[in-house]
Amino acid sequence: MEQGMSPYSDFFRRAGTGLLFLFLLAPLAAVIVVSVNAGTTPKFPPEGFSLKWYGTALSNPAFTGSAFNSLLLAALATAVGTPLGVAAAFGIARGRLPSAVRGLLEAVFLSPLIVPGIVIGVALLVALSSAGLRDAWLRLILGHVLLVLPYVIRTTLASLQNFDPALEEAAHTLGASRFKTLTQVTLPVLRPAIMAGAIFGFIISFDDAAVSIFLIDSSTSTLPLAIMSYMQYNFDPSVAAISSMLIGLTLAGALAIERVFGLKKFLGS
Amino acid sequence: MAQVTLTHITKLFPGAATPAVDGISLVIPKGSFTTLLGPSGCGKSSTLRIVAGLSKPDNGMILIDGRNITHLSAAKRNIGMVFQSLALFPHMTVAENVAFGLKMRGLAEAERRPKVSRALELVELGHLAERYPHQLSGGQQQRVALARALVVEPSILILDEPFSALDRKLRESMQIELYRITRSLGITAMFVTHDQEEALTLSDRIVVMNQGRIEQDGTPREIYGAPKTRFVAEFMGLSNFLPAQSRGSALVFEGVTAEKTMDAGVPQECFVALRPEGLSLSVAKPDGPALNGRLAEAIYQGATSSYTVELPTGRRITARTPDCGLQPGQDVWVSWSPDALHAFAA
Repeated sequence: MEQGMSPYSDFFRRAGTGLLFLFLLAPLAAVIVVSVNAGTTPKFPPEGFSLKWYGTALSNPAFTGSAFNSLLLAALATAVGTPLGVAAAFGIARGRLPSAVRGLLEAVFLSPLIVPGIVIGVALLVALSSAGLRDAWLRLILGHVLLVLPYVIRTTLASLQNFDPALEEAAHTLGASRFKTLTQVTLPVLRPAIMAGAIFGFIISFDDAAVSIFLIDSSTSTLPLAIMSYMQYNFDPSVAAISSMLIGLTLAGALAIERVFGLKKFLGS
Repeated sequence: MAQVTLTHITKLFPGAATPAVDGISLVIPKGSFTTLLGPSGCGKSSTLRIVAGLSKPDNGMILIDGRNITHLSAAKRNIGMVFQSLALFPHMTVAENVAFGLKMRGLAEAERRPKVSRALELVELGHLAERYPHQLSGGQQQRVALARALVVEPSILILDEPFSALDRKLRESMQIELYRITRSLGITAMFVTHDQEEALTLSDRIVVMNQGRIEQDGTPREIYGAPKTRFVAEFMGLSNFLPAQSRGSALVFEGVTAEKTMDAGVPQECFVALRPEGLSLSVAKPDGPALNGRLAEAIYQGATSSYTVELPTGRRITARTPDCGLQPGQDVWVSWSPDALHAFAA
């Protein structure tokens, strides 16, 4: 009996894991299957194989224009947010602060992870409007920097906390100035963590709808919002096609993080 | 190579009740290998970091060849330092690690290359120049750290417990290698350890520290053979402390009088210590002074055996001698060679 237990529990563990994966991934698979549907409505099972909806999606200027906007926005937000996030992480980790202040700062800087996007969006809309900022691009960049920041701060902070201070001391004793130590030793050692945070931030920015919806104007939209508004009036598989392309992009990003940093380390910290 | 002078160095860390370094004065002669030895928290590492420029003293001066460097940054002191964690740059190859100090000194690639390969040859790592630190064994990483510190031709080489993470065997072979390299270069070296055997193996001179002060300063022979304080004696492995009185050139303890030439500093009420390795046991009363007691324990340990003798006063002393077949319960006499007997102020 005792010997029989182990294979059974092993079977249930595997089955449970399998079901969980199915639950997580089946909808994604369904979207991909629907996207190659030859029919005119997103139906399952599909009515034959066709890539025509990819063509439809890519020739729709509402999608291509907003996709370009989303890529540019994510790139700008990451470019601005990454150095700011790194600087903030240094301040939190290295500043001579009482531990209560340190904890408070960390909580404040990481709060965009916890505060619902809708709340951030509304708050930004109210604040930026009252400040007279009406340019959609400026508002979007400011809002998305806020989304990118906590990811960069979190990975950089985790890496700084494991940083051996003797590395910088060794650089000093070998004749490196503070600036050279930073650029030749500290930042290169932190680079994988900074890169992982930046890639994650890029994906989050690219993916965001909740914050952006409050910041766009009639002539500037982002891809997630374009998909949402398209679906209000149309119901064809081109939405599935564009979603499949987003899945591919996200997967590429996740693989990139895995390559430079190790996804487990990133999510587990 | 240079002479290093420390005068009245004091360091009090914020929040600490007593100074970590309490008025240390020390001259490290050109070309000597000096070890700061002591238990953790004795101030040896703090002293070393002050010499390296990684920590500022509250008081005192550091001179290198007569030049005051107390306020010079670590980057400008021209020192080579090997850290306890080694602190190899993980994103650089072995060769890049070793070249780092030369690069910071503004040497061109063409000037750096021969120096780097010579330094790597010195530590027998020429064939691993293109590897990264994480691809090396502990001993190899150790050598890279040493090469990186030596390649800049420092005026002083500073080593902060570099071998503490190694297993015993590797540690011993690294000690021998460090001895060979430092002596062949004639470099001035300052070493920190809490391991007295390591200090004895490597040093021309040992400075024993305790609570931020220097307890004793001398050659390994002096420190081991003639400890001046009970702290040094205990730290160097002496045991069998017995209360005693000093009377001119004699010591009286446990009812026995022994002749001994002593330092002037030993007060009338003092302590003696008997080095366990310098004692011998016999059943018959030997000539000269000896302690009589009952053998309480006999433990066979291979090359030597450990014998614990209980004296009539109830105090116990331990002798370490080759196995002599005595059994617990026997009445024995303990005698000592003259240099196994030491006297201290309490």
